[in-house]
Amino acid sequence: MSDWQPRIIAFLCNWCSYAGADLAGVSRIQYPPTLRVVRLPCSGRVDPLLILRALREGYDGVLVSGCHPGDCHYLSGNYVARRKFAVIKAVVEHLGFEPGRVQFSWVSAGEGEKFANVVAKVTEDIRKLGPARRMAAAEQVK
Amino acid sequence: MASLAEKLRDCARGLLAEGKADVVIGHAAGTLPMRSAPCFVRSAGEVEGLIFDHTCGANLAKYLVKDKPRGKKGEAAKPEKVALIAKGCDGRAAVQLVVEGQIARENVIIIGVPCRGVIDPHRLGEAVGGREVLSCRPEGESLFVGGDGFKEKVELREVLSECCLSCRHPVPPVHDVLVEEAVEAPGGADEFAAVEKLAAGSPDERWAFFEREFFKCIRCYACRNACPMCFCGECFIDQNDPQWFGKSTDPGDTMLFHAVRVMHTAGRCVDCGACVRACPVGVDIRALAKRAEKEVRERFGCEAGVSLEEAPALAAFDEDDPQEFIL
Amino acid sequence: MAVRKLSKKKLKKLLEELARDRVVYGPVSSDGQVSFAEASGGELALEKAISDRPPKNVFFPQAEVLLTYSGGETKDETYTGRPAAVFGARPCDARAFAVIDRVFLGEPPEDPCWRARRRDSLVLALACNRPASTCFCHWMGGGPFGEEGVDVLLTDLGSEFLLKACTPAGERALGASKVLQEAGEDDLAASEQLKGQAEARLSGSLDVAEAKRALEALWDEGLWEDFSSRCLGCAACAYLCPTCHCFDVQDEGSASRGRRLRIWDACMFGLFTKEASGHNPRTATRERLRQRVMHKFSYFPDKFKAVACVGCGRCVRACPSNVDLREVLRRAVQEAVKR
Repeated sequence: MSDWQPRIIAFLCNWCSYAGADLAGVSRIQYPPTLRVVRLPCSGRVDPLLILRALREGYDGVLVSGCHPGDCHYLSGNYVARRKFAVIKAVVEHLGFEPGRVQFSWVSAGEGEKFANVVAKVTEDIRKLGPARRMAAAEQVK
Repeated sequence: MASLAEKLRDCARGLLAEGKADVVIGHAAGTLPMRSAPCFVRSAGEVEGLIFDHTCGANLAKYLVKDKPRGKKGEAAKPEKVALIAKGCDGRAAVQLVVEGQIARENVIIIGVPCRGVIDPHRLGEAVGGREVLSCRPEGESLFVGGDGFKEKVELREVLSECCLSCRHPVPPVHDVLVEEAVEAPGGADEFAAVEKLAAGSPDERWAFFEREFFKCIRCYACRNACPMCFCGECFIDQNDPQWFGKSTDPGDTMLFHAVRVMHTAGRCVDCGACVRACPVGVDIRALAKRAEKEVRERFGCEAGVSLEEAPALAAFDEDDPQEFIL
Repeated sequence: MAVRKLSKKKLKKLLEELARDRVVYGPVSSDGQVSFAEASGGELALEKAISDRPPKNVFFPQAEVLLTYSGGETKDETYTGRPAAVFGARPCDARAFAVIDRVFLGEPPEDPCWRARRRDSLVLALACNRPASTCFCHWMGGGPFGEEGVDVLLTDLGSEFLLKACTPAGERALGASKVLQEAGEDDLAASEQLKGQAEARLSGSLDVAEAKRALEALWDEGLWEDFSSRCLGCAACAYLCPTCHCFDVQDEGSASRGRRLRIWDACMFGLFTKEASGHNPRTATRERLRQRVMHKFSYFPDKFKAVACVGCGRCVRACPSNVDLREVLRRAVQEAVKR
């Protein structure tokens, strides 16, 4: 089990978090290679459908990251997203997905190191939870 | 002293006669015991059929948006003026639809009626052990229920919809007419008790609960179709490019269909319970929705349909919204 | 045809006998809902006048895998298991199997999935001593002791069941059983009496041929608007109907592996008639409700010489908006008479 690498899908906003991830790369900061990145224009574009579809597909974890409040390239996208994130987290956890499977962060374009730390933390949290098992159990047609 | 039904009919008659409403949407007696049918009254002569009692479970606000043509240019027809006989939750749904731009405020007349709870046919069935109910006579806080070879007394609270037991709005907070003053709602129960009970358990326990509950689902979409807040021209579940979730009864797909519907109605749902009553197989559809409602209420202080001035919770924001969960 | 008796205490033994060569299905109660599932004995829910969900899922599951593919190989997943025994269906449900047989088995090509599950199946229907108030099987040419589609008809005599073979397959099943006793004249008489009492409980009458003509004449009339105005366009009626059999075929998976499924569909859904061009001839519930009723009482009879409704009443009970098929038919007949 120790060589199992979590598969985490990451929805990153183009202007801040994606750039921050890129900065981590060019700065040669080491972080776990567990993310599959999906670039979006804004964290406000993140639809609950994307997150739940990712869980349906069996991703072990989902990370959603955007600009810090006040710094959104589209001014208010991340403010609206912030409200949605709270509800998504509440519903997903109430349904019975383990807390920590879906996580959110604000990472700016200049925060390469923070991005690496976020990935490391999220990867470690998911590693402790183990591979995604909710959808595997549900894989049958009656 | 005129009965509630008589006052209702007078009101409807007046609105139609004065041309203030083109149609009055209300409830009429159904063809089965303890069931009513939504009805559309367009002339003073048809008003006699209107009733209001514990059987009026449909959320009539649905009919403000049902079958509405969408996305067509040049809609020349003048929109109808609709008068809605609204219990508290129906009225809040109508207000929410106005706030969301689905109907113009001047085209809907909210006739508030004080609701004392509506019966959930599944709970009624359970209360009599699955036997067919042929007669039902309310008396105070009880119901005298009869069927083939039996006659029993059940407590109203045993058979009312769960949402009615914690109702805080027996009349619509926003209304044009109030047919009668509100009496005490049958509420009193803690509306989030079930949510808290599940939340106190483990994720595995919650998953097992929802898996079991949604295993019953036959994907008929009666819940979605009964809901006034579900008016999208194309529902996400019907999209096939991309197809988000399968349309079979696969438990994973089914659970996530309901989870997404909860998220799409978060902050908009008025907890009328029409979805639960519409479900032909008795799924507890509210169990997950109440969690979203709790979050919206506690985190953002928002409640659907109580004010025409309030923007929908998830379409608005405050710069100081809490974000303790964000890294 | 043979007639036998079975003490209710021995029901489990009969089911065990059947289970030797077949998969036995029966009405099972779960959370207050009775539906048909694999059942081996004691837990059968036979008290309700009618099960909440029909047994059509036995031969026509709500989701059925047709094929799977993986790594370039395709595997046919058509059912190859043992034949079914459906115990405790009601005569209306058995009649419904015969209705669907006309579509799926009547003319070539046969439906291979229905055929695979229907082959050699045995239907042991339980006659209705006390029909529900929503039962209208007698309007559709059936009855509480009807035998169409039934291999063995059981009558509940109190502490015993009477079993009457209605087909050669039923005859063979009764002959092969070691737990049945001989039935006497009294038992037959008791069953006849129960039949008479049951038939007397059914209310109302309707000439379904007259209804057909009436519905056809009222194509453009207001009754469709009146009933459909409250119809929600969900599939509660169609999914609980024992004769509805529309389906969709869906592919799920990726380029490398996946499956093809057949899943229930319903003409009541808005998307049922959406065409590739984007045009949809039935966008409003008015057109869809009319279509469903016309299909059952006009188009299907024209094509298959049978009404596609068995009067079980489940749609009447399930409809959240109280769109009552009995009312639609009665009103159609009344209005046609007036003209």
